[in-house]
Amino acid sequence: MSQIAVRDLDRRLIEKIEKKYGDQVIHALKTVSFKQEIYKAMLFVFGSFYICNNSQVAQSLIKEDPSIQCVTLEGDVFKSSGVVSGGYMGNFSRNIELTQEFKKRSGEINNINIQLAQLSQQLEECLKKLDHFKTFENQIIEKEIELKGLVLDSTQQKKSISNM
Amino acid sequence: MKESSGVKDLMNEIKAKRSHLDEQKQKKKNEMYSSPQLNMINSILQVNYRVPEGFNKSDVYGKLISLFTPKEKKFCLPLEVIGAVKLSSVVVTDKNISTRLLKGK
Repeated sequence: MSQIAVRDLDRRLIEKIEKKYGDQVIHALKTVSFKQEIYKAMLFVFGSFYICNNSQVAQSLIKEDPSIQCVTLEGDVFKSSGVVSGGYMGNFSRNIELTQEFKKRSGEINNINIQLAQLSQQLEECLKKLDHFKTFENQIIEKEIELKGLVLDSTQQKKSISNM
Repeated sequence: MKESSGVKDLMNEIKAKRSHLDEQKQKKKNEMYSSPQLNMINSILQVNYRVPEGFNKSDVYGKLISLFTPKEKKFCLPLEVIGAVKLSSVVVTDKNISTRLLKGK
């Protein structure tokens, strides 16, 4: 099976565009954070796209290089071949946003689970200590009973001696 | 005897904390599973990609959509347009196993 060849970024072109358009344009790869090990996969998806603030900037940007494709913040796509697509995005799926929310909540649940595990461990340790103290308590009660018996014996002995 | 009552207090405190955490956990779970949108993501897009049997989990990174975070919310829509179907259909793997994974063995 053949591998997908991914063209590496033309850093010179990116620098040139950033210099010319400032913060009106940003390369799509720079808008996401990811682990370095999946760089090629990200390059495969986002590598040839720039995100522009508006359609005017996108229109002038696609004339810079035939490999450039632009997407505006509203979701309109501009290609150097002249194709423009987009329009009303009201019902467009929000999968990325929802996935972020899902990840955030999953993380919160994981944190709670970790806290719960730690507390359970503490509880177990405390229960062990409690068992230990209970044995001591029983020993003390036994000794007290023994002592009371001894005291009773000695008083009886004292009484019998005094009677004699 | 004093120490014993101290331990009991501590135990009660921990029990209270534990039940509070249990409640929180349950609440979050309910929230997660009752939210139709989140439920939809997990069941349809399978954000947490289930690695097939016989594959090492560390070799399969997961679905593309779960592997990055947009730096700002305003970039979500353009990134969605760029990624389109690839985001939820592409599974990123170690290059050595992608062929095996596609064949499913």
